[in-house]
Amino acid sequence: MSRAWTHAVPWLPILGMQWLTCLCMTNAAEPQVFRTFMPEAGPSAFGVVLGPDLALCYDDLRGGVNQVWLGSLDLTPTFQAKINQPATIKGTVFYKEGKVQPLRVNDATKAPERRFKGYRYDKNAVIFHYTLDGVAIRETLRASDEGHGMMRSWSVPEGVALFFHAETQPDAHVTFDGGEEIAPGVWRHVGQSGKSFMMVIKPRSKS
Amino acid sequence: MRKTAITLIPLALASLALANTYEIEEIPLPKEMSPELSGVAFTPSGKLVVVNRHGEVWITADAKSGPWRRFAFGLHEPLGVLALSEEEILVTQRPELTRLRDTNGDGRADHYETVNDDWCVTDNWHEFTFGLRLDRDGEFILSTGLPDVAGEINTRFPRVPLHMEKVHQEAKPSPGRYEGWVMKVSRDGRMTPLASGFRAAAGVGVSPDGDIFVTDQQGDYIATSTLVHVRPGRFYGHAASLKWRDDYRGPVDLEMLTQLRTPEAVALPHGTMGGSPGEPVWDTTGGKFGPFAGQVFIGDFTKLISRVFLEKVAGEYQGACFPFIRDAVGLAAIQANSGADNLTIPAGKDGLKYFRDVPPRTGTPLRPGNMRMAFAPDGSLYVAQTTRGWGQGDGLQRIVWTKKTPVEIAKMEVTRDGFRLTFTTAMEAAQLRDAKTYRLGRFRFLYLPKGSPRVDETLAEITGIRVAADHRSVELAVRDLQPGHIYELELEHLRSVGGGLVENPQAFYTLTRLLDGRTFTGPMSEPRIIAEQKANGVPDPEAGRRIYGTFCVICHQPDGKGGALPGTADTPATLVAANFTLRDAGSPLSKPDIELLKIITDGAPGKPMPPFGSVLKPDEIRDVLAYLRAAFGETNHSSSIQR
Ligand code: HEC
Repeated sequence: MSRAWTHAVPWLPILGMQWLTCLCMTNAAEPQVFRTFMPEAGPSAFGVVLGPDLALCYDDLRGGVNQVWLGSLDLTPTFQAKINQPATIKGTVFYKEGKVQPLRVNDATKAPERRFKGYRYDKNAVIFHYTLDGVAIRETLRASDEGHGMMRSWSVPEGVALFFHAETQPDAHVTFDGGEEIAPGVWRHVGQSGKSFMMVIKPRSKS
Repeated sequence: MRKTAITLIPLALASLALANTYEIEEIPLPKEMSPELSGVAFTPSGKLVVVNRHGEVWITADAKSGPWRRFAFGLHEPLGVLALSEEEILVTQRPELTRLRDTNGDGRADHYETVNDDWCVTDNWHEFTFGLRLDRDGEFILSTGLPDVAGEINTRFPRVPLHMEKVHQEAKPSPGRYEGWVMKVSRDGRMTPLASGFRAAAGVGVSPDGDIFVTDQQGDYIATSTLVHVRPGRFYGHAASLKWRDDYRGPVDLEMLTQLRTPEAVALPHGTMGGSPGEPVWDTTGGKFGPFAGQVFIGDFTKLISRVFLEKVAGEYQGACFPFIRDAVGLAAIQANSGADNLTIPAGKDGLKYFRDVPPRTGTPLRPGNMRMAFAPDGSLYVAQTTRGWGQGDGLQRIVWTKKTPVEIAKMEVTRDGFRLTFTTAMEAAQLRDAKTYRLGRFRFLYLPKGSPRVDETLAEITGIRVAADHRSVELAVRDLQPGHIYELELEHLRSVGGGLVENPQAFYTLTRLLDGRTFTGPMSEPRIIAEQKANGVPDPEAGRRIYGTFCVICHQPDGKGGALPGTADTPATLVAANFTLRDAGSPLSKPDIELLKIITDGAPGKPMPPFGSVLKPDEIRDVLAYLRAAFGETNHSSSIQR
C-alpha cells in the first residue's frame, strides 16, 4: 500500500495523526477502533478506521454499522470539549443503517437482547463479539482490497439461523454471499462450520 | 478584576520558606502521549502503566528515561487501570470494565474484552465510571457517576435496557442503571451492586485490610467531599441512586433519607481540604514514604494532596484529615475552573471564605488535577494529573520523601474527653503545654438536598493539656465534646525541638462517634445555632481572621508585618505588602476606615495590593478590617477575641 496519503492528512489529532503515530509503532495497514461519542449514534459507540480513506461508525446499542464513509475520523472535538462532544465524520458517507437491531436469531420478527462482548484485532480486520439472545456472534470488518469498500462477515454457531434486515442504499453497491434473501431485504444465513455470511459494501462513486 | 487579584499572589510566594521534606519531580512523557493522565498503576513486576483521556494505555519499565510503549488505544475515557500482569491489564472505560490482552506477544493489546457493562451510560457527561481496585476476594471494585440532581426520584426508566430514543437527552434524571453506586465485578464478569447514595465517587480505594473506601464529591445531598467506608447494602446520601435498590418502594422524604443514610468516615471540608477529591491510596511503603505508614493519601482537583488518619471507634471508621501538600493557588484554580456557581455548592458565596486560615505550603510545583495516584515499588508516590479541559495541569509527577522527617501532626485520635495529637517528632514542651498553641473549633454540615454551608460553628474550649513524657504527643481535654461535629484544629507557631514549624498546622477530625459509641441525636437538616443576623452591620473580627488567613496572609504575613522580597545586585527589593504593625503617622492603620475599606475594595493602583471588591462582599471587607485593627492595631487584643 502506498504511504503517500500520510502527507495529505491534516496533522493534529485528526486521525491522520493517530494513524501516523501508529506508523512508527504498528503496521499501518491495521484497522483502529476508537470507542467514543459518535454523531447520530448511541452513547459510547465506535469510530472505526479501516484504512487511509475508509472509516465507519459501529453502534452496538442500535445494532451494527451506522455509517460508512470515504475519509477520516476527527476526534479533536471530543478530546477538547469539557462536556461531551461527538467526533466528526470527515468525508462522504456512502452507507447508512438506521433500523434498531437489524440482526435477529432464529426468529426474523423478534428484536433480540444484544450484549456487547468486546473486540479483537486480527490481521487487517477487527472482529466485534456480541451475543444475540445469548447466541455468540462474531462480526468481522475489513477494507476491501482496493481500499474503497468494506467487507463485513458474520460467523454464528452451527445450526443457528441469523437474519439481517437490509436497508436500501442509494449511494452504495451492496452484495451478499452465503445467505438467501427470504423476503425483500431480509437475508437468512444458517451457521455451518467453515461458512460465513458476508456482505460487501462499495461506494457507487468509485465504481 | 478577579483574575488580577489571583495572578498577583504567586509573585509573593517566594518569601515563605519551604521545608524540603518531600520533593516533587516531573516525569517526562513522550510527545506522542496525551498528558491528560487519568489513571496510574504498577504491574506486579514494577512497570509503570498510565491511561489517558484520549483512551491510551502506555507502559514503561523506566519512568525517568523510557522508552514508553503504547499498549492499547481507543478506549472511551478510561478513569482507572489495574495491571494484573504486563499482558493483562484492566481498565474502566465510560461504558464498561474491559480486559486488555496481548495474545500474540507483540507488546500491544489485541483483545479488548468486555468484562461487564451491566450499568449503562447515556450521552450525559457526568456518567463517568471510576476506579479499579481489587477487594479482598480478588473482585474488581468500581463506581459510577450520577447525572441526577436533587429532586423527585425519577423512575421513568427503571430496570430496563436503554431506549434508543432516550439516550441523547442530557438526561437528568438519567435512564442509566446503577448510577451513583459502588459495585463489584467478579473475575468472570458478574456484577454485584454494593452500596448507593454517591454523587460522583471519583476515587475508589481498598485498604490493606481489604476494606472498600471511596471519595465522593460535594454537591447535591453531599455537603462536602468525603471519604466513605463502603459497606454492602448501605446508602450514603444522594437520593437518586435509590431507585436501583430492590427494596425501593416509591417517593422518599428527607426524614426517611436521614434514617437510611450512613455518614462518611471522614469529611474533607470543602475549600480548605479541596474541591474534588480523587483516588485514596494507602501508604503501604513501610516507611519509605516517610512517617505516615498505613495512612491514606488523597489527591484533589486543586493543587492539594491531603492525608487521612483513620481509626475505628465503636466499630466504625472515623478520623482526621490534614493537608499534606497544598499550594496557595488551589483557590484560584477552583475559581478559574469551576466558576463561581460550582464553588457555591453548597456554601453560597460564603464558600470562598473556607479557603482559609492556614497559609498553604506555597511555591510547590504540584499541579492541579491530582485525581489518580499510586505508590511505586521504591516508595515514591506517582500522581497522574488531568483537569480534563477545566484548567491547566496535565501530566505525571512523582513525590519523593527526602528522608528528612517532616514536622507534622502524625495522628489525631479521639480520647475519652478530647483528642490526642501525636507528632512525627518531639515538640517544644513549653509550647505543647501552652493553651495558646491550640485553636480548636467545631462545626457541622447539614444533610440537605442542595448541600449545606458550615453551621453550628463555635470555638471549643480546651480545659486541660497533658503532655506525654517524650513530648511527641499531647492530650487535649475539651469541654462539651460533641459527636456529629467536625473539630477543626489549628496550631499557632508550634515548633519541634529541632526548631521546625509544623508544616501543615491544621487538622479536621470528623467526630461521628464518641469513644463510648454516642452519636449525634439532634436535627441533621437544621442548624442548632441560628446564625446571628449581620444586618446591624457590626463587623466580626473572627470572620475577618479567616478571610485574612485565606486572602491576605500570603503577602501581609501572619504577624501583619508584610515585608519585601530581598533584591539582588541587579534588581531592587520588591515590596510585598504593607506592614500593619507600624505606628508612625501615615502608617496603614493610622488611616481612617473609609480609606482602608476603599483600598481593600479597589486595590492600591500601581502597587501589588490587589482589589478584593469582586471576591469579598462589603461586610466581609469590614470584617477583615476589624480583624486588622483587632490583631495589629494600637491595642492588640487578638487573643481575647480568639478565646
Ligand atoms: C499580592 C500581595 C497582597 C495581598 C494578597 C494583599 N495585599 Fe494588602 N497590600 C499589598 C501591598 C504591596 C500593599 C502596599 C501598597 C502601597 O504601598 O500603597 C498593600 C496595602 C494594603 C493596605 C493599605 C495600607 C496603606 O498604608 O494604605 C491594606 C489596608 C491592605 N493592604 C489590606 C489587605 C487585605 C485586607 C488583604 C486581604 C483581603 C490584602 N491586603 C491582601 C499587597 C497585598
